[in-house]
Amino acid sequence: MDFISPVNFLFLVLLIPVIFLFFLKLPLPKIKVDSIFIFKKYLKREKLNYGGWGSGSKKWILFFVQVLVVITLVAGLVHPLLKRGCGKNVLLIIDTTASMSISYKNETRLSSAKKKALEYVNFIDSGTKISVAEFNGFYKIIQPLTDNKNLAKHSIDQIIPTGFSGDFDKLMKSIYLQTDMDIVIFTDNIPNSVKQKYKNIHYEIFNGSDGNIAITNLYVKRDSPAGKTEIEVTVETDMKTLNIIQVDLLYAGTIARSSNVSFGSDKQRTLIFELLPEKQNLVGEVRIINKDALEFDNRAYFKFDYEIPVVLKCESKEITKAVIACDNVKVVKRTPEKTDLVVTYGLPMNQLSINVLSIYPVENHVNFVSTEEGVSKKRIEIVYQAHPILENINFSGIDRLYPANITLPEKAIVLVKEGNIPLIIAGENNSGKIVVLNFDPVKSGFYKRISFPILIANIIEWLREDSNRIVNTEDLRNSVFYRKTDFPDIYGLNGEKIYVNLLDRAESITKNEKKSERIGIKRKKNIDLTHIFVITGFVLMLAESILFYHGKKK
Amino acid sequence: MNHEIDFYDPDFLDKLKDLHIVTRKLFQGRFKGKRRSLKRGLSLEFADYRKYSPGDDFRFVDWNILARLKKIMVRSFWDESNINIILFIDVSKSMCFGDLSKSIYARKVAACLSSVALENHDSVGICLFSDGIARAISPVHGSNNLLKIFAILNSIKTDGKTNIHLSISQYIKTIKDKGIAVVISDLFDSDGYKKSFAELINKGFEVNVIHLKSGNVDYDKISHNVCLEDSETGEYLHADLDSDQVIDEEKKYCNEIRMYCLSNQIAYFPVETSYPFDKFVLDYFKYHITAG
Repeated sequence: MDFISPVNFLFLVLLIPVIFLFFLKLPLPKIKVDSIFIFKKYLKREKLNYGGWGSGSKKWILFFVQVLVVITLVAGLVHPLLKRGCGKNVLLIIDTTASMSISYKNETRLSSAKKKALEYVNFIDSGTKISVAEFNGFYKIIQPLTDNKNLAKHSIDQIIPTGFSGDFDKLMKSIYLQTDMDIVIFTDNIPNSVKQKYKNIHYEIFNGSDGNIAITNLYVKRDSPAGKTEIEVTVETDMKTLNIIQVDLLYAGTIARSSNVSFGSDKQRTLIFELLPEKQNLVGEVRIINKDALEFDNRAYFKFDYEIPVVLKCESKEITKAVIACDNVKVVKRTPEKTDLVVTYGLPMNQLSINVLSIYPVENHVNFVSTEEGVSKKRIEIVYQAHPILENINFSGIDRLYPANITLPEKAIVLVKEGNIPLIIAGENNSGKIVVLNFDPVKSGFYKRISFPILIANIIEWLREDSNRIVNTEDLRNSVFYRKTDFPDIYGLNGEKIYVNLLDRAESITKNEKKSERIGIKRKKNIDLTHIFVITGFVLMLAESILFYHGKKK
Repeated sequence: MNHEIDFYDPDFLDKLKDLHIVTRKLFQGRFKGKRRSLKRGLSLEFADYRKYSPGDDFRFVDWNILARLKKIMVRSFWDESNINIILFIDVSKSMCFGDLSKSIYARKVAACLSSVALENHDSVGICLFSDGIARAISPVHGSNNLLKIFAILNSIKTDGKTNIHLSISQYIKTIKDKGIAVVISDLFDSDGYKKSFAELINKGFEVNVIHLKSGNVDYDKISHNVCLEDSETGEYLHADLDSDQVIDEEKKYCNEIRMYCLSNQIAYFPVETSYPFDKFVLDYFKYHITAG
């Protein structure tokens, strides 16, 4: 329960005079009589109770009613809101197949999954029952439904990798048929097809995957049949249609080996890279690039040849309510996987017809030897404050935005930078405009609930004037990488709408909190109990008056 | 509570000299007394004639009848005996309430009755009771026992609740002879008084009830919410009362007792402790004379 005006609890001090006055008047005049026999006889004949209701006890009852009156009226003043949580059952399934044993940044995927699962358990409202299961070809419930979070956490801690593999689609179907619980799956393999089929199944994405393609096995063969040291990389995809990826082997950021892979009808490909003789110490990384995003029909897909209605844009810095609706955005062509994109993030191609560009490091790196990580904290500097894109955007208090090194496009200007690295770039050339977001809104501490949608709205507003023009940019493919950002559980991109409502406190949290749209937390309308308490208070007051008058009359 | 009382006020004792307790019924006493007995005996009071039968004393042959009717008739006379006067004195805690204690009043009344009874050769039994028999003596006769009775009355300690029936029924089982039962009590018995009085009547006693009422309760103080403390039980009663209604209730209670006594031929003497004691005693005996 929340209180809108908790300061009104101070009115509870009114209880002190109520109690004080009560105890002042409580002692009744004591009269000693030879026997109360006659008095009892009288009361009995008059059918009056004595010793209970109607005498001394009535005083106490009146007192309690008075105290209740004060409490209920104060409770009304503090404006209590009953937050209606959920009573749902959630099944947590943790993938324990062989691929989950692979390390990423000194941590196995399973550890990441367990960590995420524990975070999730902590996050769940009390009242939600949790069941834990592991999946390694078939799923096995290791913790039946419980509302004891500690039990669930303990069960999660106990999970170990099994080394088996399994058909995830079948699992999904069987679970879907067997249970009506909300299901959260912690896995490195995300079957989009299942996601579309079974709407109440949600997925938690963690490192090592871009949603469709994942490196599931990485093996260093020091003595290959050819007598050389090789690296074997297994890449899996769940896409049904043609998917081309580029797998690079990098040493110190330089591509040493590169190979394009086409999956075709297969879901798994294994590549073997021969290591250079001078690089035997194996310090480097393997990355995959979704070539679909780079090359596949990009022009048609992101062409803005339609109206983008921006329903509301904040016009002053004093924001009272901001709603950005992009629900009329229509995509001319979709990507082969047909995922729903709401706000477009771009493809940095030569001669782009797309306007919004989101650039940040690719996430599906898998380190096979530890590498240095982290970006030192640098001050975020707003270079071009008056630019319409930055209107009402707040950067204060943001820790990190994780920008990537980027080559500044021709004629583009830096609007915001962190150190020397540009964060937001906007520019024009002869054929059109371009905006580059050189940071990951998902990973960063950028305010996703308010600033991010406003930023997108500003960008669209700014770009739409010249949406049909062609922008020529230099080829950025060697320095920037792309991925989707449609994480519905993070910044509220759900379906085709973005909502920001500052009047609702719960929905206007500007920190990077994963609160809304989470499984098991069915947000219902909060109930304002103010009126209930106030009415109860007045009813009690009336009852007290009647009792008092009744007592006097007697 | 124990207050020594001087029962030897010579002036008052003088007044009592010529008094005696009159009964409506005749009782058969165990000892010789001044009252007519149910049996025939050798008193001066003529009872009847009966035919002579061998062995009869010739002194009782009525020679005049023999001369006139030629029949030998013998005169018989009533016997004279005493009666038992049993004093049931309430010694519950409520009896010692206030300055004008009911207990003292009761003891004085009992002392007077005992004195008169013993003076008239009657036997006096005493039963002090509260929630049971506190102390009891079987009926004694003879003036020499007066001091003993006074000593008992002076040793009264008030304690406990009132349970009239239990005490009376226990006591009357121990005595054989009937007589007058004088109950001196405030009659604050939650179990009621009727049962005990009925038992006395059924046993053949002539019952006198002296209902003592305290003049110490200040009813003016009782208005609306009060906390009443029972001197007998220590119980508290929180009540919303009207003094007039309580007084009415008390009157109703007395009337109820009066009506019950009237219908059962019980002599009922309600008295407040503020009423002069000697006057009440004289009133009591006057009643007996008129009733007799």
